[in-house]
Amino acid sequence: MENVKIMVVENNHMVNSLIKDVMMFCVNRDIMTFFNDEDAINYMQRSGIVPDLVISRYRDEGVSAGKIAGYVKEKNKRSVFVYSSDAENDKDIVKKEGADAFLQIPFSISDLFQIVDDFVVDE
Amino acid sequence: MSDFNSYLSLNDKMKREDFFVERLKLLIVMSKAFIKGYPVEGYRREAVLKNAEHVFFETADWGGQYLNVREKALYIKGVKPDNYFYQRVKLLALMAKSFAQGNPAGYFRVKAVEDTIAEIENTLKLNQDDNLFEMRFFNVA
Repeated sequence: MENVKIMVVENNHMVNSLIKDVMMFCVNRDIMTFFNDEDAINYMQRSGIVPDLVISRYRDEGVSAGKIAGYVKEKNKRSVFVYSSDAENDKDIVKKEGADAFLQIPFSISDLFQIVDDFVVDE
Repeated sequence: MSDFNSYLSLNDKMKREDFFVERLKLLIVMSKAFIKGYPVEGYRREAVLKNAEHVFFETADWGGQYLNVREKALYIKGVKPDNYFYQRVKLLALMAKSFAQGNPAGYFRVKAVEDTIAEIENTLKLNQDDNLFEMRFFNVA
């Protein structure tokens, strides 16, 4: 996937910042980061940019991955969604909601490397 | 659906010490990438500088006390780090900052980075995970 556009929507600052730094290192591109879904959707509406890969907290204060997916999938059905959560039970739920992958929090940086290999390099 | 879940302690929140360990691992990967000759430029440079800064400040000598939150995490992993360990980590952070800024890296500088990484990995009992460099993104980014 050339010139891949990656978006991170995560309300925890430390998680948000770590994912951003790992992704930026891996793909050598700027990473769009937001702390809530509203800002993310407003940005997309304003800029017209649609991400190829979204890593979003599944459901938490200010963040609903489904809401972001609803907007993005309308613009680009091929965009990949990785839903993250610290509740292991969410894994089965997000699968039903159409997530392409589930990132369990806490995660290891190797999980993020694997996401890049699977969804950016392979595409 | 893919499932990314390689962390050992499930059903647990990500704590500050977890971030420190993951950022330190990232710093090691970044430094090894530099040693192996992968280009450190553009956004990759920015990521190295930011991560090095995070690690550096997380290893600050808080009033000369080394019994802080980070040690708790490392104790859990069966490691008893000492002052020299933290100095090594700080040194690696400074080295990463230096190579990301494009300062010249001759044979002995690279050797010093290698030695510092080896000491840290030895203390943390990290797997010398060469498989990591089979990750394909290194060759395309």
